[in-house]
Amino acid sequence: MSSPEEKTLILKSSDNEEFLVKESVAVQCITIKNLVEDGCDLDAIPLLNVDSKNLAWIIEFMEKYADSTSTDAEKKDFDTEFVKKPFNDVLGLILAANYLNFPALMDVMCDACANEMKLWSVEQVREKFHIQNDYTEEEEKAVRAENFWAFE
Amino acid sequence: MAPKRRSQKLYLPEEVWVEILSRLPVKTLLRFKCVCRQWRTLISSPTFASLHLNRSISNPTRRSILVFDQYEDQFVSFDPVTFSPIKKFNAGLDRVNCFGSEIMCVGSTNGVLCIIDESGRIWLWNPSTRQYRKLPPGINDRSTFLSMGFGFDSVSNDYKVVILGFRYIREGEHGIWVEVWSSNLESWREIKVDYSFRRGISVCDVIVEGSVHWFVMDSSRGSRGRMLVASFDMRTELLGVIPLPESKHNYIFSGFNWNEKFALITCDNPQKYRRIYQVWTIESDSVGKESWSKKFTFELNVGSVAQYRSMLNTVNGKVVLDKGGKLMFYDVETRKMKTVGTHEDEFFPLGAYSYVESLLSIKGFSPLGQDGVNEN
Repeated sequence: MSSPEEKTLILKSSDNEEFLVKESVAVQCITIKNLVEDGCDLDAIPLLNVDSKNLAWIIEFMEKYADSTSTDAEKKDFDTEFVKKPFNDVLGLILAANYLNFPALMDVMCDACANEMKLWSVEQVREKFHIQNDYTEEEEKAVRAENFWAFE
Repeated sequence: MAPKRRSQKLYLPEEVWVEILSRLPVKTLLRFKCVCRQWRTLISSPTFASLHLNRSISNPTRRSILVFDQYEDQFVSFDPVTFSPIKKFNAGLDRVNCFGSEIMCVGSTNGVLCIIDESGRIWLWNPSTRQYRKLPPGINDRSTFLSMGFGFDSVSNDYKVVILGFRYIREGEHGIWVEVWSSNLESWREIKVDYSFRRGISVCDVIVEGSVHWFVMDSSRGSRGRMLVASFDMRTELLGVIPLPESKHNYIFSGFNWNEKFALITCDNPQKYRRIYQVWTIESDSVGKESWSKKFTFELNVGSVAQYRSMLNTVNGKVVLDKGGKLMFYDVETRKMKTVGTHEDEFFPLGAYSYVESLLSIKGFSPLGQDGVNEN
């Protein structure tokens, strides 16, 4: 029995750029998989929270991972190069992977993010993530003292 | 004073924070509690601790091998892949001498260690978070010989310590009592048993997921001291006993955790350098009858017999051997042997355990004193 012709999807980024992707590749994103299974018959699938910059990267990643000829070692090498991006882009990809529900990409990007964060100081974390310190001076001192050895 | 703000402009949803933070080491997470209140709440939550633990457990590179060096009274952790020593690990033991003297480690489960000292006092301790608690006194008289086990009941999410206490009845006959401490209930409970056996070592031999095992000597009438395996099930809290495979009573044996199952190692030719070991597990047939089943054999050239003190344990598929002050790891699958540490490193190991760092907190945990206060 011959399989039906490989279907191609059109994914549209938030800034209205269109990308052609094979369905079998795109369904690595569970969000897209669900849309397809629910019988979405739009011409293009709009991805409102993913801009073209991120979508291009995501498609690059999806295609590498869908490729059955690439070995685990090759994927690992690819990952190592893929995550070499400015930190804000890493975060952008994490958000996009979360929105699209793409577990493999989420894994790789979160690992990369955690790796970078490991040695940061508390101040660096606040700066890079734009987090407001909502402790009072006394509270912060107390929390610090609780785990003083972790700062050594 | 920093301004207090009711809401924060964090532009990542919480599930994304969890995905990222659950990949960080414990020490980093403890520091990051200072970032903001939301992070402290998240990192301190039991749900997060479980998630973090599950992620660590499923990553073989995070499960180190912990060896207790009795001479230095400290733990040394070894990288599970390269076997190089990662760190020396008293994690507060040197600061506070609250663990007493002559301490032994009963076992390691989910990042929590169970420590006992020579007077039979018991502590549960998470070295990564430096939190601990001492167990209260139990029901029976603790001055008789005791042997302890420590494990986890995943059904009720309960850490349990089990004690076998040995009671002399008459010449050649010993009775036992069994007590189990539940971390959820924070109390001891006596389990009625009808066995009679003896044991000379204060800690159990093998801990697997859901049960704890001891090699004991049958001391019921007419048993002529045959060896048995006593097993305590963490969930049902039942103690069961099974004799060793018939033909192997006189041979060197040990037990180990083989893929979370209790496995027995026997040796046919203990007098030789090139030893052949057999590995057995207990299998139940269709009607629930248990019997020993030989799984595989492996060969180990132990060199000069006199130098080998003991097979300490098997952790993550590696047999840990104590060769007179030097530690060796033997990988049963690849059949590769490796001496660990530098030639200056000398260890006096008392046991080897599988260890994973975790944030887990048990009811009643409190921090190890910072100012060296000896807490009795």
